[in-house]
Amino acid sequence: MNAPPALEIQDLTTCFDTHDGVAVAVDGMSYSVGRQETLGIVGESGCGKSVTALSALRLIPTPPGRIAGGRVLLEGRDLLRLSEAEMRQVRGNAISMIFQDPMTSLNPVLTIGQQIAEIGMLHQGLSRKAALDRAAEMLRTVHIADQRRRLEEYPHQLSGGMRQRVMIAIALTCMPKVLIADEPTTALDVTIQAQILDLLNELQEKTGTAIVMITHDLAVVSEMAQRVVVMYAGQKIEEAPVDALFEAPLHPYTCGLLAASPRFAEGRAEDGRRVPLAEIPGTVPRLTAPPPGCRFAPRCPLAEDRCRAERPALSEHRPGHWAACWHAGEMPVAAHHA
Amino acid sequence: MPETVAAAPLLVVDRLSKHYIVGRHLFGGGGMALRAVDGISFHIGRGETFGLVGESGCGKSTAGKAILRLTEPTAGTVRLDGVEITALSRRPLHQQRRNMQAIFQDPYASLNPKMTAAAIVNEPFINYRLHSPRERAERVAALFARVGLRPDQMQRYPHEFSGGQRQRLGIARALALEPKLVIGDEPVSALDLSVQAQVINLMVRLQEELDLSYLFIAHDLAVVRHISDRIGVMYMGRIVEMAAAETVFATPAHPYTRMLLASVPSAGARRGSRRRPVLRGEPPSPLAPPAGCPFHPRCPDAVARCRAEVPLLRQVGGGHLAACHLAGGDAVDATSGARATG
Repeated sequence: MNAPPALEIQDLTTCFDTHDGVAVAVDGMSYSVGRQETLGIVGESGCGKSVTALSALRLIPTPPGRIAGGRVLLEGRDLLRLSEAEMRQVRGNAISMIFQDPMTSLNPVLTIGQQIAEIGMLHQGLSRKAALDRAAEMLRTVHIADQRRRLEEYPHQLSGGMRQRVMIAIALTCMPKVLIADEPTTALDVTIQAQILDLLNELQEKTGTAIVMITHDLAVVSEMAQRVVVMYAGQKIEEAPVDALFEAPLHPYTCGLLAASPRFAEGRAEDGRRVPLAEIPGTVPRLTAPPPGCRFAPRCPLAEDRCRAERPALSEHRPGHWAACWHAGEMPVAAHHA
Repeated sequence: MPETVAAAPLLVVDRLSKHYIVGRHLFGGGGMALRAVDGISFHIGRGETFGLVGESGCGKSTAGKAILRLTEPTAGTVRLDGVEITALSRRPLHQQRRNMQAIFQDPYASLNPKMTAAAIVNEPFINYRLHSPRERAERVAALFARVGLRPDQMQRYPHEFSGGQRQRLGIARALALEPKLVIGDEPVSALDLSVQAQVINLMVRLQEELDLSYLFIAHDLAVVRHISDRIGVMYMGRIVEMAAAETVFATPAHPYTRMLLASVPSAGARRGSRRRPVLRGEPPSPLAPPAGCPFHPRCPDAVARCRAEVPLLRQVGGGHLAACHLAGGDAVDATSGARATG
């Protein structure tokens, strides 16, 4: 733990100006991920998991958005202090990102070859020919057969799974220190998803790239990550090693998510009757007017006056297992996956 | 249940097909048949939920539309409560549609943005000229309560609702005409987990209260398993396996089902400990389906017969059907690909 982590986000805050006022989409977010490690970031729509990543890459449109504070350290170097020109040298090079829908990330009028080769020419100073050779090599790396023909094709000629492989090839061309994968398999069928997740694991073993895996899918995280961060309404509410999170979650929101998931909940009673899924009542708060105190309090079965008044700080309840809750660990966890 | 009338299934789908002709020239000629749905048969009992699962393009949504005759089937019959839906002309079909309603993945796309929530739920009464204005208002209020919407939300517009509330609104509208069958096409796929659980529980509760039958079409195996009594697995337009939900998950008989189940990430499989026979490759083009079993190019067990002969759906156990030459008997170790869950 002497070398700095591959990526360390410290106290990051990102705001957006909206018609209803200032929305604090990311509120004092911190996490770090080391070489060869996969960190899972989970949470529901609007919790700030993607905005955190986009802020780290300085891809937040300004206005309406702005990074209001914090540091983003890539191997110790604060990306928020770089000039835009310096930042362009970093993106796609030392840190890469892949998104849910590769079709919107790929340029529809350029061939696959042009799009992968561009990276090598831009960041590695390769000649056109060398960059195309490198592109073919990258396609082989992501297990796309018949590489030379594929290089000549356009994105629409590929299937969804194939396009995501191309995006991974582009992202990994420069052997980045950090790969941020934002819902990389959400749009894919489950059999293709399995192939892509396996591919990411395989490539990480080869290159040591740190992976930040952003997803709403708890099962994906359980299978991919070593550590997991749970976000709610712009804040980190729990962080734990993956087994601890699934076996002994501390925050009532995490407990609720696991019990609400048909994948983890016990669906049938002994007599075969269907057991209702646990519900988390209500909806997420508006970020322009978050509740004072704990942001989960209005939906929390354990909430009391203190929770509604005073924001709980993150504290370490067990080694490496952090939660921001006045009643951490008090939520009875259903035997959701014996 | 013992009485024959009660035991007769509500919905009987018999060799239903929907073929599209694609690539035809402007004046006819040319063209290839895309067999989106290729002769599927199943039934749904009263108060029962039948789940139809499969990956994108397998034909599950087209099957739902063909049953509702939102798209005209190419062949086959659909009977609802003894009435042959596929034989009806327009007006009687309109009347029968009262008995089968649909809810869709994106309620926002299926709710008129210029109508208030109350008007949306009231619209079916207007369409069918049912009830007095006073009774309509009472029924709308009752439907709001039934799906867990508040009376003060009646005068709001769809954009003022969250995703989960919009789906509740879609369900209220679907229930207005007191249908016997509700076809849900990915009704909870767009919802966040905590809200998804609310809507699933609501659907289960409404089924118990109203004795509804559901055709639940979805790609999420865990959701389908939770809500369904029986499940049909579709691949390239056909049902390749059909059984009680727990049977499909515990002892899948078709190699495609086994691989589908093995592909699902699960908490049981920690990093590196995966024992997944990952499904290699992608489905072939539906325009050029392979000869024989449509799954044989991706099937690890395929033998010569699979490349030549289309396997028919046949009994491999009590109430358990599979379309695989090798399924059943001792030919297949049904547990080899299944992931132990729970």
